[in-house]
Amino acid sequence: MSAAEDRADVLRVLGGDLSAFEGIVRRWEGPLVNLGYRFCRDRGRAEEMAQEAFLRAYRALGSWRQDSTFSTWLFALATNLYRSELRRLPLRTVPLEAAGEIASAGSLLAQIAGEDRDRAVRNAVLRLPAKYRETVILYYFHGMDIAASAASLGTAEGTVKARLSRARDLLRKKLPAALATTALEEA
Amino acid sequence: MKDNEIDRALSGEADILPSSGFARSVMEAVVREAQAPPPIPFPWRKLVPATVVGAVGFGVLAWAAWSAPAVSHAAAEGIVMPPETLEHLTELAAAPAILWTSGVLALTLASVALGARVAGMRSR
Repeated sequence: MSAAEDRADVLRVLGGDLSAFEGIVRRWEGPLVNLGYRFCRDRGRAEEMAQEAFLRAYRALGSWRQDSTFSTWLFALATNLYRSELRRLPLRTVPLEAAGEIASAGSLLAQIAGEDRDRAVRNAVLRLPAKYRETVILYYFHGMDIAASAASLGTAEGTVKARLSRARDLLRKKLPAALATTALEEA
Repeated sequence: MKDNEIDRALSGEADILPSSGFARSVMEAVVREAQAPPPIPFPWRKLVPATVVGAVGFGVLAWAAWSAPAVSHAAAEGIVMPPETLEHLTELAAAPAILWTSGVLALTLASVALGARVAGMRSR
């Protein structure tokens, strides 16, 4: 990804050359769709959200002040959109608390390993309260980069660290319950 | 579950690829957006005089409502009316519904006429 290419394309679009926006779309379609997918775990919805993010970026291109990189600005815009989209139409998941009684800690977790376990952890992330879920998603999406996650969320790095710590605690406590609800949903 | 296990589970996720027509579909949407007519600006220039007229009208009404009891008191005490005028006024006061209905109808007609005029101005 080249910041210089982004800047050049943005300037061309602002100068009236609409075709230059395709360069931006080609460079960032993968990251934006993948970020959307991590928020909703639904490929179709992820693409719809990413398309809307590109449209909003196009409309707001003139407001990019170039004091941050284009990617930082784009991810912050997309993150805001994905958060509000998921508030508008939430995912259909069972809250972690709902399965608290039926899962015995460690019993289910011990039975699964590898890819299944990783998938269960990712599903458990979707059941976290929104502020923890968003922080975890962005932290791992940005390759465990606190500063990039904070920039996308528009919050302080300390807040990101605190939310990550709390999110890990919740995941550790609630993962068995999440496994149980996943099993219930699949049944 | 340890932190490094959570890290491994969440950072080792494979990326998905956007569908083949995704970029084209985004560009079509962007082109549609660019070709769409600009949004109609809010008619501030029309709103300001209307607001001023409305505020003045409201002020006049408020003033009239505030001063009406004093005027009627003064009239009752200081003005001697001929009996036929007094009778006429009494009849009017006895039929306030007719007055209110007439007033409201007049106001409705005026606002319909104003609306039609504004719509005519916009379509030109």
